[in-house]
Amino acid sequence: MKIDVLQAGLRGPVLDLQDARGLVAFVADGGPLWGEFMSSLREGFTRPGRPGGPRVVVRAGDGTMGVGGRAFEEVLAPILTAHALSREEYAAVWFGGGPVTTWLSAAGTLSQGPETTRKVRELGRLLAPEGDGGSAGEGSLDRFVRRMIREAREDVARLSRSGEGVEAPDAQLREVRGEAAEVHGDVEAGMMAWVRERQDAETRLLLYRDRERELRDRLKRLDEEGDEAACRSCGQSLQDRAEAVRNARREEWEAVVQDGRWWRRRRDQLERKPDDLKAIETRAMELDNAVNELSEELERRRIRGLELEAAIGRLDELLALEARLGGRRGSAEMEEARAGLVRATRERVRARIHARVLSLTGGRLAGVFPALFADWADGGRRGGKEFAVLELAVRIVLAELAVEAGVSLQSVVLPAGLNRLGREDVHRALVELVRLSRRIPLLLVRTTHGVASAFPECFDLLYRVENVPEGRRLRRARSGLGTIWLQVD
Amino acid sequence: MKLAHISDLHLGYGGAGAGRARDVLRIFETALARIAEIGVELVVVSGDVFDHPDVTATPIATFGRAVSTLRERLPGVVVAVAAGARDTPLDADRDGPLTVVGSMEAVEVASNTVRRLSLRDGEVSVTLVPHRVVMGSRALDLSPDPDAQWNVLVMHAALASGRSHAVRIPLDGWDYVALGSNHTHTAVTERACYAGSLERVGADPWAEAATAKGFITARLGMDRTRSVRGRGSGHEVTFWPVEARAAVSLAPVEATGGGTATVTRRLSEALGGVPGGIDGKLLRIPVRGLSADDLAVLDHEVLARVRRRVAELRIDALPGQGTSHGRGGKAARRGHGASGAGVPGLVASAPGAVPLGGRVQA
Repeated sequence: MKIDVLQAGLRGPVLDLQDARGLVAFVADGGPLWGEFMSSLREGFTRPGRPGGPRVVVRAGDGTMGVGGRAFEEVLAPILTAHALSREEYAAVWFGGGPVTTWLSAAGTLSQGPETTRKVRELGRLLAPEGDGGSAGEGSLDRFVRRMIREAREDVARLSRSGEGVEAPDAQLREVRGEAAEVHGDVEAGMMAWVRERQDAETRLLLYRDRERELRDRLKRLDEEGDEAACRSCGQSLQDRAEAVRNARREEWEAVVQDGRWWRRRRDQLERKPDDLKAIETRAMELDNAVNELSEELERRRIRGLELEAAIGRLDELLALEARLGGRRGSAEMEEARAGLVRATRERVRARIHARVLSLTGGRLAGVFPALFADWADGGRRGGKEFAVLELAVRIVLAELAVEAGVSLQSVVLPAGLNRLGREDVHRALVELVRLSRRIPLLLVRTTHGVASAFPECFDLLYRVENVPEGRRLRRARSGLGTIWLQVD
Repeated sequence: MKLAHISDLHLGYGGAGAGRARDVLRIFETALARIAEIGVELVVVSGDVFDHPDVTATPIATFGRAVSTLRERLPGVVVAVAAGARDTPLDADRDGPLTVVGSMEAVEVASNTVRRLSLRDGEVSVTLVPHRVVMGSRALDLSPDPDAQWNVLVMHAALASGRSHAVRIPLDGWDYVALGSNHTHTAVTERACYAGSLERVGADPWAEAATAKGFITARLGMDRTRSVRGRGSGHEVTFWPVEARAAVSLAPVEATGGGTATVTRRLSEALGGVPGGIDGKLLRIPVRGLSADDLAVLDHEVLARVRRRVAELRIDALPGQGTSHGRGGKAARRGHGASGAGVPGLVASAPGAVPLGGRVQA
């Protein structure tokens, strides 16, 4: 869901994001406005159905709707169900809502996929003292494990049946990309050759015209002056040689006219783009389309492969659990299995966050990451550059996981982070965000005047707060680099 | 008529490593000294002279000193600057560092509007198009001066991938188009070039590790028939490399199937194999399949020492073979994967050692 309009409070300024795309910055060195926008978003989302609140409008599909309204809830509900996300987890991904534990739980849910999440949750319910498991007893656990194994086998069978490896499309994509690069090179070379030939033809035509004009004038003078015409080399009159000179010049003039006509035809012929060049351009377009299609197919198969890998892993765990249970089925074993699944997911998420923290800091925090992460995951949201980097890394990972899981996420808001980073990390962070903005249509970040002016090429759009006599106003300005098209013809 | 084209100087760049701020100042002074040796009548700068609009006095003073030295060696030389995105303050009514630079003798600057300079009694016309103008225009009417013998266009802009929102610049009539913003030297056509940055100043210097850094000189041809300008017409564009900080990116060091001891051994082998050693270089070490805890140990025991020897160290954690950071499977959980037999080696190295006298034809 893409945010279209954010209003600060009931009568505050409006952040109009309807046609905002890419990495968009709210630029302010202080002041309460950003907090008011975030408060509107948080309240609208967490207190659905409350009428008369500030306007937070999102776009989903072809329509727009107010956050927390009935239409919004109708769009949100199937998204949450499809991805086994809780409302709080969606808020964590969308605008960084909720505590640290919710962020990590959202990452876990997205990382392990909806099927595993549901089963882990079901198992958790069965094992809870006050849950179904307590009253259902060992028989119910046994049935639960068998059902999970059956479902995991079905998943593995279903996903294996498709038999779609990534090797073939990957190799094909590499081949097509290579061919596309070659053909684009041919197009460029062909275009240059065409321009050169056309310029050459034009130049030669001009030269022949000049020469024709010169010869025509000479012939005219020879005709007018007759035998008295002067030789151009020695200046004496031609006398009896006049006729021979006239004939020679006329022959030369005819040859020049003949050649000039040929160059004029050649020039006219080259006015139009040559057919072979057009054919190469068409081929280049076809190859570009093929590259796009193959890339999508490859991505689809990769996701399918990951799902298969996850299903096989789940089945493995369950079979091991069934073997361990063998006759002495108990909740301790089940709890161990559930904890194992949760632990594996957490480890995967932590590894991913670790990689992102390293890329944001160039590896500077490699030595302190374990302690830093442990402190933070304990529930401590603290100040300081290191925690700012960590939080930004987690938000980026959350957004990436959501995109990879296919969550409909047309916008992401990063309420903090950039303004708390050290200068050496800001540029790397912006590069990461630019990369992320290619996968999510709107990435709204809060930043400072210094960052926005120091790295203008990274942002697509800036909203800056201006204090005017009537109150506060938001000024919108394009950012980025100017783009040009060099026209060679 | 000979000109030098430099771009994306980023004076005032802080960098992430020791001495990186000094690098950009040193390389700029080196480049101008080299330009003085070559001998030109005009130096054009296609933007991003400074790293950001709020630079301190040091980079501005360095610019002034280097230009002053250039003028001592090449009296009459003019330095013409078109402001880049980094030189341009967010507020149009605020003065940026180029305002100071523009007040220096023989330095001409365009910050907010297009400026046309007429040099050598009108023989040479230089049109400076600053970033703010390119950003604010969909249609920019730029035509060469018909009375000038040579027309030079200087601007800071990226080449568009499509025509839709880009400013169209017909090349006809321009003898040389000096472009800035792309940090890699690129000859777009025979007469339109990105000089590239003088130093590796991007967020990822290793991405441009294999490209030479430097400046361009262009000798503009004598042939007045523009349509036949090019080879044989006396027009010559030359790229001159300068010795930027060398960047080295190692092939991923495999940890899968081994612990920190294995990684330490493989890393030592890889570091030992870097031609010319690692000291003072920008070094990137990707490590594959090592847990965060093991990497922390490695950082304390080995990487800290490496960090002290290099100008900048970047560590990247890559997922193990057969695993992904996404939904993990059996292999991910059990730590299975490739044997890690891949021999670490050098995959990219900067041509930073190209002697200053070397020439590469553009």
